[in-house]
Amino acid sequence: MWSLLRDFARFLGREKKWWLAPLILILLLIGAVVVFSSSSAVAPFLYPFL
Amino acid sequence: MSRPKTVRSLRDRFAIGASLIPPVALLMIASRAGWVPGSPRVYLAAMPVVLGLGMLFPTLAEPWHRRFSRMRSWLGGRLVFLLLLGVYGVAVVPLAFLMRLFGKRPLDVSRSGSSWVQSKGYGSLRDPF
Amino acid sequence: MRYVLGISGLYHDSAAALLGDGRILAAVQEERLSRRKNDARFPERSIRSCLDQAGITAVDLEAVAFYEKPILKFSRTLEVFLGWAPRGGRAFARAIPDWLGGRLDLRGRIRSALPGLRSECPILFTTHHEAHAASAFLASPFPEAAILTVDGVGEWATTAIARGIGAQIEPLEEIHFPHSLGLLYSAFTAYCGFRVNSGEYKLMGLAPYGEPRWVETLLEEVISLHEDGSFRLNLEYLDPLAEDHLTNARFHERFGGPPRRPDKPLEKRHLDLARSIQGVTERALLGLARRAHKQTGSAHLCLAGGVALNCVANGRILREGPFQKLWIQPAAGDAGAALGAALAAWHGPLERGGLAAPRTPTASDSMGGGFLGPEESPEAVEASLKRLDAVWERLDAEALHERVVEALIAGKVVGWVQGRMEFGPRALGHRSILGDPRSPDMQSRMNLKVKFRESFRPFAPAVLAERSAEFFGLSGESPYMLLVAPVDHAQRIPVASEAEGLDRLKQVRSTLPAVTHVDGSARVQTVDPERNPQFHALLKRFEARTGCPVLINTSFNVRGEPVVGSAEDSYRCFINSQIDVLAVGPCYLERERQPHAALPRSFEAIPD
Repeated sequence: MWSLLRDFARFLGREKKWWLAPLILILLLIGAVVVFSSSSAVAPFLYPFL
Repeated sequence: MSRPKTVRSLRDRFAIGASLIPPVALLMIASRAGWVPGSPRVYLAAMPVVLGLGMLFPTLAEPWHRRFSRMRSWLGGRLVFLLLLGVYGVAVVPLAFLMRLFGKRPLDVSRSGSSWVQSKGYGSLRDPF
Repeated sequence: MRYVLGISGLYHDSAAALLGDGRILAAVQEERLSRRKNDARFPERSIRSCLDQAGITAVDLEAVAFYEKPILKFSRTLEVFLGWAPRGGRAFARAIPDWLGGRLDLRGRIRSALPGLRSECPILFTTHHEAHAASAFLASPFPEAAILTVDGVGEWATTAIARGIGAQIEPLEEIHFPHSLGLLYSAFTAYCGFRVNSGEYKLMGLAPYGEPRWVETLLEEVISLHEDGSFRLNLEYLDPLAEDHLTNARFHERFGGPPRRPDKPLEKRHLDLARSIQGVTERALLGLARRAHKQTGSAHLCLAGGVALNCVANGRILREGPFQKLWIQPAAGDAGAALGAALAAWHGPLERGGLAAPRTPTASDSMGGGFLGPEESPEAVEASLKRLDAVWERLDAEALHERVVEALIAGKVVGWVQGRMEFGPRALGHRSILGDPRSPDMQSRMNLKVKFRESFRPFAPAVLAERSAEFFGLSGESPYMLLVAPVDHAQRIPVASEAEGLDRLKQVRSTLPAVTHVDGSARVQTVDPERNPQFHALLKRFEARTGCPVLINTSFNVRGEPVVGSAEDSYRCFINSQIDVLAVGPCYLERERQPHAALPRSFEAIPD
């Protein structure tokens, strides 16, 4: 996950496309929550809440 | 023909047991509103019990767990869909209008002139961008 | 030995390829193993198969290469939505979960799929068109060449010209999304009621039945072709974000109605549209080829990318284009990009993270005839047949060939499964259905009774390379069935009166009616003894008995099914279709002697 974020930062820097950053951050956050809640070991704990 | 014995990991047993908790949680909420008899505390106490029972007898609780998982992933898919639709409305569309305001067009949709673009090179193989 | 693994997939046609000291050891498309056509899942089965064929494990890998730059592609996707907003919200909400669910973090995905992979083994990323270009040039017989890659879209590029010298590829020019020939062809494929990314062949097969009456309209309103070979699409007619079809209401109004539903009959309008878009595509590709020639000055052209599977256009590039020699990557689609990624990593310069290996091109090419997939031992074949209660005779090669030729002469349809599986969409005589091309009703019979598909779909001839000039107007060879050439005039039979549309199918036009298209052409496979010894021997024997050095060769599958891989796949397909005889490895099976009338199929049928 961190290496992915670092890749994104280097990519945006190289292409000078910083205006994409907020959008990418929002989407990665959603992605992280979804992946975390469905495939991690804590999934069963989240059953009652999600 | 004897049925093959399924060996379940502790994690699977836990997942099966945990899928029994949400209905009890619903009952707890309903009891608070007075729709079902019993006090919320009883239902709260029942949660670890059903979890334990589910873990002890996973074969019995399995069909419910399967149905519950399917429902949950369907619901999850719908939720993510709506969430992303929201992101589109509050992030993508405004950003798109801002870009247009500043004269930035991500897509070259003009119809005239050569469409050749000088290649910038392939970049490093190590980078996923 | 130093091993490099290449991987493509997650959109359509996932695949894996393995190099050992730069030699292509194995390459497999996921659909052949998973039995799901155009399977787009991460190619775990193909990876395992490649490693097994070389007898190694993930520990032995020196590099793994993926055929795309995921972050670049993701950002392009976002930018397209930004360009399209406020439209496209639903498409956005449907497309993004796939990205977040595992298309972005490819390093993690590859490492978890290859648990033994050493931590110092690098995971490399080529661009989409670099992978295509590498699959075309680095596997070709040329020491230097112009490289043209054309497909739907990769990261931004949809079309690219590069120059290959030695082991290096220098990218020169690109055309960017949304201007895409592949996308346009797919839009017409969908509009005519076929499935995008697999129905394009059908559109191409349909084209000769129609009239090119929409060409001018297309060139004026939908795509403009420029002097310098570049082109632009008119986005007022196309909707690249729509999911089921890529065209919009304005398009439907202009071209005479809504898209055809797959269950509705084909009308004259669809035939004419197919012919028109095919004509425009050919013209555009010729323009691109001329540009590639002008920019590189090379006499050789290498082609890859999905559009390079358009063998009718390829034939025209060879005949009318400025190049002396043409080599097309047989797995020109995205599956072949797995191979391209591995080759690009192997030969790529050190400063880019490649392994910087030199390259010595071979006189034919380095594709091993395209036979890069797994092969079952005679014992494994017999074990499979036994498990399925089949009835078979085990024969030596001599007797097997004799029996198969007997059956073919008697007008029977033969399933032929021998040696290693092909890599690429065409069956080249290792996983094929064979028939006698001299029979006038063979095309309809094989289409309707054997393959359960549309009667207009053409079949291809496999011809002894040494005699191909007598039958087809083809300069040079076509070992991968990627060139369409006219049937020689000496073989043609004049047609008394021209029928219209699909009725033209029934007219006999040559001494090889089953493989001659309505326009008098054929998609030729030349078979030589070096690349394809066993199939060559079979053709030789057929020639000795009949004087005819040609057989119908079509892929061994039925509609909606991937080409068969294993002996078991082939037996199931044999039983469930009307194939008369099956020759799998050393085993010879006749339909009447089998105990089954039907067997559960082993594939997931994909509707058209």
